[in-house]
Amino acid sequence: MANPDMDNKLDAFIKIERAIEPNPFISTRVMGKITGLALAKNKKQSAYKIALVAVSILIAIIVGMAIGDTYQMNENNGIAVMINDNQIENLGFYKTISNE
Amino acid sequence: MQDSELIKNVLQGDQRYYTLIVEKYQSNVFRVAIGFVHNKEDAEEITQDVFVKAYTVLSGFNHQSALATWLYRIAVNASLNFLRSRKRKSIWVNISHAFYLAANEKNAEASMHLQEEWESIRRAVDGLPEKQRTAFILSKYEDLPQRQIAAIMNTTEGSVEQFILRAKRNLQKKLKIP
Repeated sequence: MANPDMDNKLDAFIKIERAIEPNPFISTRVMGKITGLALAKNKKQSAYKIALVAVSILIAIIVGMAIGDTYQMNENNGIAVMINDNQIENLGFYKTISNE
Repeated sequence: MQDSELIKNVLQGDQRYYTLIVEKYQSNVFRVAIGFVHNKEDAEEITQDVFVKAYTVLSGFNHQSALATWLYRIAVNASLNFLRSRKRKSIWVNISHAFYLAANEKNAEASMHLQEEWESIRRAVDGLPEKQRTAFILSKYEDLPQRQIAAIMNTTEGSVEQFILRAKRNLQKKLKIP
């Protein structure tokens, strides 16, 4: 090296940086982040499930309404049946004791 | 427990074994990161990101290289990406350097001079081309053999030797006192 003094300083510089210790709780932070990622993923999946169920219900309602709309009233005019209440069996007939 | 067993247990769903992997390699990853960013907090952030990233892609680890080599590769890429995306701090602060200055220099003028020299060393290292810098950091900060550096950088041992030689020559030129 052209400058041995600078060479020594370069080595000293690297030696100091190599000696810096990381935070001892890095592993805790990493596992916390990983757990957070897993929770976020589960939350997303739950939201998708809920949305899927909601859409399915909506589709069922729409299909039901569509089926209901296909029903047509019977428009044939049938024979009108005139019922005269007076012609119905007179229950009062049975009130008199002699007719029991 | 061997790395392959640790990985197998993690992939089977037992996250506790990943804690062991992190504790085993966090210092190595941290030293690589600090070689690039020269800042403890940033190096810790990169270290965390490296292990979170490694966890998410662990199922893709094919055991063709050692786990350490794989982690070093992720650490180098993460450090380089960090430098590209973040603004470099205008004032370089390193507590350990300050302590060194206080402990070893008797007067303020000498301390300032030493601080300036170290700043010039830092700039010289940071100014190296990316591959030279990577090879230099892996060699000097982690004492890795050229064979392993070649595996990390996905190149040949001969290329690694050249990168380190050129890095030293560049540093000699940049740090020469006129």
